[in-house]
Amino acid sequence: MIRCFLVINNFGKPRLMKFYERLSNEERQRVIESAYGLVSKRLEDLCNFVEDDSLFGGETQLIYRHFATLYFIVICDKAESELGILDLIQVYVETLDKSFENVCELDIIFNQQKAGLILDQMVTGGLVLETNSQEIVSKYKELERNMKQQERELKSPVASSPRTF
Amino acid sequence: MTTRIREFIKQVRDCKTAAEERAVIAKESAALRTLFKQSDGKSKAASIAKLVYLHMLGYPTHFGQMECLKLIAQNNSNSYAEKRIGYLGLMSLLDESQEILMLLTNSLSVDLNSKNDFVVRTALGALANLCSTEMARDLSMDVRKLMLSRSHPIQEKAVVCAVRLIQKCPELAVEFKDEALALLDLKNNCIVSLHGTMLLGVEICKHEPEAVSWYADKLDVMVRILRKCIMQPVVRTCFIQQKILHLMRVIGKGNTDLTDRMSDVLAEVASKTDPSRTAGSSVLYECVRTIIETGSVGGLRVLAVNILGKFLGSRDSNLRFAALQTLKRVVNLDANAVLRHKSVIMLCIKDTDISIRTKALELAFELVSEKNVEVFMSDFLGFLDDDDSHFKTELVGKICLVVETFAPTPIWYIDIMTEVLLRAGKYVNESAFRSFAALISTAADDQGYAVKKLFSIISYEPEKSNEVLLILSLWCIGEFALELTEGEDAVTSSEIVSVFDRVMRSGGSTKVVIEYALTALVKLSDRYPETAPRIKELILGYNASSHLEIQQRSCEFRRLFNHQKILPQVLEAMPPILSGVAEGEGAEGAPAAAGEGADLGSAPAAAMADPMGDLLSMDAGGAPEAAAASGGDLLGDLLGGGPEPAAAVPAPAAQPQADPLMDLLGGGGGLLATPATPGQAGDMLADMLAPAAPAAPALPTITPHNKDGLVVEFSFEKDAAQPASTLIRARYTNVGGGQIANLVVQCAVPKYIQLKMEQASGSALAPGTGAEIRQMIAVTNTLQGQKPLMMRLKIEFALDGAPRSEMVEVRDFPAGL
Repeated sequence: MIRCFLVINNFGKPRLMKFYERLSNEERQRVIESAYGLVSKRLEDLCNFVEDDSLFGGETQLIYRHFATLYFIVICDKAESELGILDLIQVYVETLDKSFENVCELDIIFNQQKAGLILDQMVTGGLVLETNSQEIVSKYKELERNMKQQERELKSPVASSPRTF
Repeated sequence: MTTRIREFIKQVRDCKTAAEERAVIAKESAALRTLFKQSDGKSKAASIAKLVYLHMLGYPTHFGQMECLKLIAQNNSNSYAEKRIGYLGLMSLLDESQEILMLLTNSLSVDLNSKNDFVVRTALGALANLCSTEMARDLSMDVRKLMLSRSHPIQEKAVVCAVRLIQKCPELAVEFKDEALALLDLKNNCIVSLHGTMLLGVEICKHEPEAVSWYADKLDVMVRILRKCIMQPVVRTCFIQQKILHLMRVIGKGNTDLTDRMSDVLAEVASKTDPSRTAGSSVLYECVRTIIETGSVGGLRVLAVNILGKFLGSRDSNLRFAALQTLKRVVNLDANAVLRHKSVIMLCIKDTDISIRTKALELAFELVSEKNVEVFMSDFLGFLDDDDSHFKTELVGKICLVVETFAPTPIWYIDIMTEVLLRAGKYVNESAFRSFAALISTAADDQGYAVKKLFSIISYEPEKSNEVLLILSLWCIGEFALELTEGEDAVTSSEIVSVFDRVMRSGGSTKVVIEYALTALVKLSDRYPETAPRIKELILGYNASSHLEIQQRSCEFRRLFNHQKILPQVLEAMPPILSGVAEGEGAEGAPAAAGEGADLGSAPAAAMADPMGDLLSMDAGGAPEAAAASGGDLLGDLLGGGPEPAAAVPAPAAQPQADPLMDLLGGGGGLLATPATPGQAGDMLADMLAPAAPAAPALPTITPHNKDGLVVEFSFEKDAAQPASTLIRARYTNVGGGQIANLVVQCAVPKYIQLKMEQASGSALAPGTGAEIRQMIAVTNTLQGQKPLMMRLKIEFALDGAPRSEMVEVRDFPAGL
């Protein structure tokens, strides 16, 4: 099971975080700090897995990928396949790229909700839901359409059925 | 008025200093709070988005939880957008507030039954993320209904949600049986909900042993799905393939019939999957695990192990890591298959990547057995020159463990351990050190070999030795010196003493080494009487050492030489240390070592203090035994013979060990009670005596405070010359499990009482050590007889870092003070 999904920039600032376990705010910040401490000092050509028993009380592995200015970090238990998770990160970044067009750190900063929603289409409650980036994009677009439609309905006095399909 | 979210983020990002950032955020938080207090529903969604951002930066956001709930609870037809942001906010902001959880359960149950599909999906997602045990119980019925929903997006979320519910509340596993199995039979299953179905299967099987047979009946369905997946691009199906393989592994374990039926499709996966992409390799690994763990035999297994071998040699470090990981999982099942890749694994230990190195090292040590230990060890010793201290600690720890478990002969053990001590002495941990000492002391036949080897290192190659090795060598020579002067390569006793002389004079020798050398020398003087004069001289040289422990030891040994009668018994060789006994002694030695650490002040490496305390306490433990053997009259000797009470307790007290000392003093209590007047507080002896005989307690002791593990006790003393004055001896001890620090006790008294407090002896109390802090309080009751003594205590301390403060009124002083 995935414990948390973090996006941290090169200077240790969190840009997106999803925790699938209930932790207090201080504990979350501590996890972010120690995760950053672990990945930031690793060289580019090393493998993308780190084991550290201090996170979440042991039995966890940290899988990360470094793209330009951002670290994408997944902390999960040992039952997850590490290569599978690595692929998941790849899919997430590809999906972000598709939906933002050349995604960069600023996109995520100013569109956190969107980035978070896309992630929600892929991972729910710490379990992988969908790994096809086309599917994810289309699902997200569907959600967006629904939102927009609702906004229009709010403006127009004629209420139609909320069911869209 | 609050700003727009984009501008707000910009403002925060523009801040130059942390203080500036805090100011901006404090202002915005205040604005948000005010906004939440107003009742109009406008623009709250944007505020929640800001809160999520604040939360990510680590600022407090708890005040937003209620607002999220309010957004979620709206139930008009246009509420989806607001519900969504409400759930999103709650997923980030929620902490352990029970009230909110209960309200949330209600909202979720309404939303799960909503007519709007999007609302249902959002609610399922939120439930999966926020689920607690109670929520799992309350909402499981709703989720079960949704699992067979016609809408695919709802179905897939519901299935994953069900997995979460079972994780949180395992007894629900049985309830989901029907839906879980029905899902497998659905014709138009989409890939995603199949993935969830497999996850669900694994989870149910984990909690419900019977479920394995339910799924075993469905094996054909799984095989069919897996075949279909192989046809599709692996990127799309890698997760579902992995999960099917996982589920097959769960049901196939120990069931040969099922394993046979699986083998075809497994072989197909293993041969058809393209390993050039990560997704492909992840499927392959899962397949290999399934093949090996289900106990497949023959060609399939060979295929599996070969795949791993190929990946081990791969250039991609990720693949290598995963291969090592998988090998480590299967090593217990089939060590021989893994052993075939030994050379590659050994190469991985030299990798530049610490993750890979550690993994490979773990794997290599799993492979060691009695048969191959000697071959492996030569490789392991080759890695000792590594620079990474963390890696080295791990390596040395493992080597010691392996040597201890698999050593073919004691000689081999001694050789390897000496080599390790020589090359990486400071990484050897306490228990390995102790077992090595224990081995030497028990292996009577090979003692000579060990001692000679150690002696030759410190005498001929002193530049190579280090502190740990020196300590061990000195201890061994002290104990088993007789072996050195016998047999081949014998040396003379004066040579031994010369080596000691050189070691002690050498600038590199630490205080701990000198302490050990002194003890060993004293023992030598008994074994070789002809060297005694020279040894005495050497020991006398430290009589004026500026280091307390060394000086104390040397003075004590000097006195000891005056008691020729008891010398042989006191300096007898230690009985062989049995590992179990060594443990026990270790526990006993712990307080002594702690006390010594405090004494030394110079703080030798923590790892060093322990084995040393241990060995010394064994020394001390041996001595009283000898004393007991020669009967009670020795006791009288000890106590009566010495002119000064402090020196009258010689060798056994080399280490301030509470128990034997108490015994001694208990025996001759009458003799010593007088010198132990309270005046000599600084004296070690008086310190030891005080708890034993708290100054002839004519007045009862009281306990004004006993809370949070801190016990405050007062005992009283009266000076006959000044009846109005009382000397209160306060004693603070820690009986709880927490660390007490920064302890400050303040007293306040009424005007008619005069108070004088002295400095406390410390401010920190570690748990479980029996340590105590003392403080003297002198009070004079000017209205004695008219008014009773009373005072108010203010006790401040930090318990495990959390500050505590207590006010205590003390009125129960003994009457007449």
